[in-house]
Amino acid sequence: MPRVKTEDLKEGMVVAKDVKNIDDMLLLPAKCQLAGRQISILKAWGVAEIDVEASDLIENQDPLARLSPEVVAQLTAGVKARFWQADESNPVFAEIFKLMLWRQARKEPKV
Amino acid sequence: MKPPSIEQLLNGIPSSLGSCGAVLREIEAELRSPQCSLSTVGAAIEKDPDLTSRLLRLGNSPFYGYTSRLTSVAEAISLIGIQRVQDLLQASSIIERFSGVEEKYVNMQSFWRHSLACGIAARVVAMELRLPKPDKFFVAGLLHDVGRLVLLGQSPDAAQQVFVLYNSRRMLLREAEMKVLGFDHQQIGGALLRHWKYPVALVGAVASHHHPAMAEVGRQEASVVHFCDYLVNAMQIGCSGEQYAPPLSMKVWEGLHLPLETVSSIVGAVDDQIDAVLAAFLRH
Repeated sequence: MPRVKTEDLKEGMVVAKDVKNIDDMLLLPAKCQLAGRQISILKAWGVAEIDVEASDLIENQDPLARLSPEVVAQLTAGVKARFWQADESNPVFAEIFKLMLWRQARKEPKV
Repeated sequence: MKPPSIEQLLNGIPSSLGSCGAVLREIEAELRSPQCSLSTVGAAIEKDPDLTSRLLRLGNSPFYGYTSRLTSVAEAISLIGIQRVQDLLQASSIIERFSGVEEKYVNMQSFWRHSLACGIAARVVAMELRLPKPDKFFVAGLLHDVGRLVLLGQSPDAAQQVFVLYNSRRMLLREAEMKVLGFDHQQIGGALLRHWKYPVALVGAVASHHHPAMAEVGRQEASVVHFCDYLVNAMQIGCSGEQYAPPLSMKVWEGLHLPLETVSSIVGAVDDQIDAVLAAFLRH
């Protein structure tokens, strides 16, 4: 299930897991569909990101979400093979690698 | 067999540019003249229908992002600017010059796709960093691997030795060049551009794009190209023979001060522009 930053949330997305604040107070329950008000609540409480159900709405956020683990593993290996050095602890490499993986994943046919 | 020296490789290459050379010289002469105007420069370009169509294709492509359609060369020059037009024509003439190179090891379409993608990325990075004359960065990116073409064109035997070694085990193509020739495509490219009397910053950028710290001049251009070469290799847009994204120097990356979050828009810009730019520069 994809994790989406609060600023990237869109109306119509469905919350995948209960969202609680640091005092364990329930802000949004799982299965709740987001509307403007729900997104405002998350922003008001300073929630940085939440888990949502996979859907077409999040295609722009994480195109890996709609692919099977086997396909993701295959794409990951393919993208990694392009690099002479793959230092995953390096944040610059990690970001570029993610961009390349997502770019490749967007080219995959829809399942 | 003894591999050729850089001088021997350059011996067979005339010190002037190809068919566009005449037009470029005419533009330069036009620019020095007190009667110079957009229409006289435009007329010089319009003598070559091929150049004219390239310029209009490029002017109307997402590379410049103009919404209205450019229909005349004078219009294109007034929007794009004469300096940029000169840079682009020069780049275009170099692509044309190498059109007959043996394609056994490197497909030319793919080579220029890689090179143009690197140029587009370099131009976008320069604009992001608010560096002056981003089109200069485009040309540096476009020409960064031109040394490979000199080797392929002037000494197919030495090129073959390089590729045989390269394909025999995991190594960078540049390492194979060093082992076989004692120098690499950066040095050949730098020497070629010096031979053609190109600006020193461009020579420095091409001659040091794998280790920009060694560039005496053009270090900034070399650094931008260093990063963009890495990025477009990672994107696998075209190929100049090298199949890996070469090592990215963290020192160079930090020296660029490019915010990491802008990389995503650079990748997007390259994807958006590459097909139109390729169509503008390559006839086929």
